[in-house]
Amino acid sequence: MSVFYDHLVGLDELHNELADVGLPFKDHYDLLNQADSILHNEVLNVILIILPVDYHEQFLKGFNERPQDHQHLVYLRQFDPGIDTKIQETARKTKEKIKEDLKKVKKK
Amino acid sequence: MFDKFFGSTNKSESLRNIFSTHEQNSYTKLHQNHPHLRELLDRHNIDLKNIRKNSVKIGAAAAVLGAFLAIPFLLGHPNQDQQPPQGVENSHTSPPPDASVLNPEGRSQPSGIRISPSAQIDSQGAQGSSGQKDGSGSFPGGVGDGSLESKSQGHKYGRSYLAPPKEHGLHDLGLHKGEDKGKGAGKGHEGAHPEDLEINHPEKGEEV
Repeated sequence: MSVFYDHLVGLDELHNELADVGLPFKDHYDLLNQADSILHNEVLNVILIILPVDYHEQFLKGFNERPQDHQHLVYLRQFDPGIDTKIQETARKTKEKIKEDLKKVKKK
Repeated sequence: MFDKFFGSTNKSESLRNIFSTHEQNSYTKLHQNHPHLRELLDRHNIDLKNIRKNSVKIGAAAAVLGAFLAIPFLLGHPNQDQQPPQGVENSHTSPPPDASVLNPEGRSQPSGIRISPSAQIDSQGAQGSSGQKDGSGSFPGGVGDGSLESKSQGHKYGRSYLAPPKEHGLHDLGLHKGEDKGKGAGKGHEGAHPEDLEINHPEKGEEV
């Protein structure tokens, strides 16, 4: 676990889907890193939407200094108690899109 | 075989393109929704991609540091499950299992540690020189624990104060071979003077 919301996102499904494609080891993990980056952008977008603009700077600074700190989630819940669900939902939708593309490539 | 290899290469390439498109779209969406984000990131020198990479580095560094810190701990605390030598095992009275002392870290202390130095001094004083024969009890680490009947353990500890005294005790009494120097004088049985015994040797020419 490297970021405070990792337990809400999870890359296991994508890892398994990529494993089915049978790619070389390096390609597999490069793609997994890209998927991680996509999810990161999407989740950060949701977080900044629920957080008032005045707090963006403080949050980004704290997130950069302590990415793993679970207190960030506690802090965000003060602004939106349903932030956990929103992050989960965003991650699920993003992963679905990626999986659809993966299926198309598998069929080729 | 080649079909399979080139097939996976093609798949990798097409997947890479798809994922790159997704990544670019998500990045664009983030900055469109939050136009002030770029300014904030520049102001604090934040790279969004590096946040995750740095956190992985921190975790790896912590793991390496923890491993280095654990080395002296492991070296300094040998496994207590090791069986002592047979002779030692037989010669000492082991405490009951429930009496074993656990320190805060959960390791069992050797039984020798439970004897406080002051208690040892008292017991030696009470027993006099006979108490010195139990040299093992004075070893601070408790390594010699249970060797009450064993002979000199100088081979184990070197010739230091830790080695128990020799059994014959001559060194402790200052009695070395050929160095009596009359220390024993007066202690032997003197007996009566020959004149007192009334023994008269016959002189020359005198008949007995």
